[in-house]
Amino acid sequence: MEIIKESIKYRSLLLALTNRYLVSRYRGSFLGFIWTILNPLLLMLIYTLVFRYFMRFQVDNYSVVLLCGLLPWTLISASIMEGATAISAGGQLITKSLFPAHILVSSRVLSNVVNMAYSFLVLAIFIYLGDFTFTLGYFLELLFLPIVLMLTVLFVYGVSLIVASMNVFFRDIQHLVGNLLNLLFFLAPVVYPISEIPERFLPIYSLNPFANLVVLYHQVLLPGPILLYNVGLAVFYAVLAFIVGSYVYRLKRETFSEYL
Amino acid sequence: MSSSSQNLAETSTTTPGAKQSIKCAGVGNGHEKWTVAATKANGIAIRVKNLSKSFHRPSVSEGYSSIKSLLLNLWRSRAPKVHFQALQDISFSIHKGESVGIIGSNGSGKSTLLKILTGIYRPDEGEVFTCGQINSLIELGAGFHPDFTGRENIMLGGVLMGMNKQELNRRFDEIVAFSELSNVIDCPIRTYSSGMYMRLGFSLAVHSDPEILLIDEVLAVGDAKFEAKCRDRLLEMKRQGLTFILVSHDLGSIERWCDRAIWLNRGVMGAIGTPVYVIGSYREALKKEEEVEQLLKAKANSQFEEPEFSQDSRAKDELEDDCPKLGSELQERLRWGDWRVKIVDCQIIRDGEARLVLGSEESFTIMVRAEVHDAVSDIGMGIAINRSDDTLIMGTNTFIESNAEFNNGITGIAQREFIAEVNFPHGLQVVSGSYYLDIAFHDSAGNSYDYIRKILEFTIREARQYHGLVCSHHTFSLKPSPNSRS
Repeated sequence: MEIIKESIKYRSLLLALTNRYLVSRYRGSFLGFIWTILNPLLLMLIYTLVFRYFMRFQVDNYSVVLLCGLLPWTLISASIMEGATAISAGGQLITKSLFPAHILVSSRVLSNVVNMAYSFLVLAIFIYLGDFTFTLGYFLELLFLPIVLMLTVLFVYGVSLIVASMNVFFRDIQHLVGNLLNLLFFLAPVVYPISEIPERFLPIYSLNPFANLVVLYHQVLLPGPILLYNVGLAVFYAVLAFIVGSYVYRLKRETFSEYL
Repeated sequence: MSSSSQNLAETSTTTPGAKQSIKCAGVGNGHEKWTVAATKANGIAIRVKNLSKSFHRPSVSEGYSSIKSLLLNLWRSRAPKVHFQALQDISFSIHKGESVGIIGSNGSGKSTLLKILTGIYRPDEGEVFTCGQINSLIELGAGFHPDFTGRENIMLGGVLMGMNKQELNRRFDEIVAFSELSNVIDCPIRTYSSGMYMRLGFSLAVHSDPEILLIDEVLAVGDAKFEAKCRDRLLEMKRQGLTFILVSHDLGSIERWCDRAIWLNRGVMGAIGTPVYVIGSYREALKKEEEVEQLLKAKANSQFEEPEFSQDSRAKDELEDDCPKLGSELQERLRWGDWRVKIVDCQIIRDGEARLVLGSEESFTIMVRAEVHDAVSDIGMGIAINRSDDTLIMGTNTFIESNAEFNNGITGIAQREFIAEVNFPHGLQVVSGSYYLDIAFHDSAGNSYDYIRKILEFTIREARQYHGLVCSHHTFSLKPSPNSRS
């Protein structure tokens, strides 16, 4: 694929931009990079307070379960939100130099992946402290984490490419995306446990690619089986999103420079 | 939209030897296909053929549409589109190692042309071939990220200009040294002045070893010292085979830096040729435009017809092959005659060297080389010197001066080529400014054998700032008055 080839060719550019987003995100703040970890923790505290104590969800290890879904969700939503404006905010890079625009999108996604990687360290501590029984099988399941992560990245990248390409022509997209993500947040098992969904509806529930990914993270990160069904769906959606994303991008990239 | 991108995918080629070659064909044109190999063999760096580019924008005031208007327009016939023809049927080719200037008024398509050559825009129609790595400096800070430091931007921009990490690391110090920005290289470049932006961009561009360099307007913001440095560097690179295209409104620098010039007149080719000639055509057109505007203003209410350029083009058919054939009416107005005697070359000589800058009172000689093609019995030579605003400063010919010796001399010339000289032992004695020279051979009735307007543009540089047009040789002195003696 052309996009992959170009990404490899411009990898130093990609890494530099990624690094720049990471550095600039918390520039000027006193705590700096610690916010990467602090943000999801604070969010976790709020949701725990609301859903565990106000709404009185009866779930063991609620905070940990919540965090397992919250971190991937942050990756997904932040990447797509930032990705949507990546090209349209590219400005001079697009209009005045021969710049592969998809690098702007991938660097946004990549910087969010790095962010999540850091917060996973905290998650590991929480899981360790949580009230779980760890078996050998659990650790074997953890080996799937990189694969699930890759599927997430591929999916998110594809979706971001679509919205980023379209946002150049219709600036409404970025606002639509923001609201849509809010809706999807509640359609995915982040704040409520997956056990709330009746078992027989689970296959249908998982057809939502966003929910499916969060479900998959729960399966991998927490004790319990990984279902091939969810993995298969995730692979399908990731590949589909990537293909459609690169198709839309290829279709429109010639005209980015004229519309910006 | 989809068809054009497919077309691109099909025809993009990369050949070994050329770092980056773009070959693109417009939709459904049946033009002759040029292979990159053939282009290389001809030593052509850029070849543009019948290039056209227009912009269609939905006529929404923000410039981009919203979904709302899209939906509304689904059942309305079609979104009304603003059509702007940026370039129309442009053809030219540029040889390797050539430097070409592009001039034209604002909005005449200069930047669009550069963007197409760079590959940022796709042409609607026509073909563009480029051979070799093209780097471009399109406006200030193109390809730079304002939040990045100078150092990071060198790294980023370098990659975009086709350099790899090792090369960049190796040449980093050189780049910084050339730009003279070592003290601010670790500051974000949004804190830079425009001059500093330009220094960084230019320095990076010249160190990335491009084979073709496109420069748009950027040099204007540099100080005189850096501009001279840029010029030296560019000319040095040119000697090593660099092809460069310079877009500028500074006609002087186009003339000094470029072998040829192209004048884009509202998206169409105005003229192409030597800088002096092209700049002359451009200036003339500007002046014409101004005149028309003034006339329009004056006759605002009367039925005024625009003067047609072609009305007094008398020598269209007489243009010979070896005269620069430029298809422009303006060209014909710059040179006419029946070519029985033909001017081959004209130079201003001082101290045995061709010069274009003279002091007001420096002696010089106008040396004209000409050829007799057909024996003539009645011939004289005339010169005219005009200020750049077309004020005639002086005009004379050998009939006015009754120089029968000269006239008979030409008549008696046996060999084909001869040299005529006009000597100004005390200089031109005019104030500083740029001037044009017209040269003509004609008969006593004024019929031209060869009349060239603006054959040379030269500059008089005088330290003293005289007022008016001329500064005839003179002295001020004091003398005691005879009346004051008591």
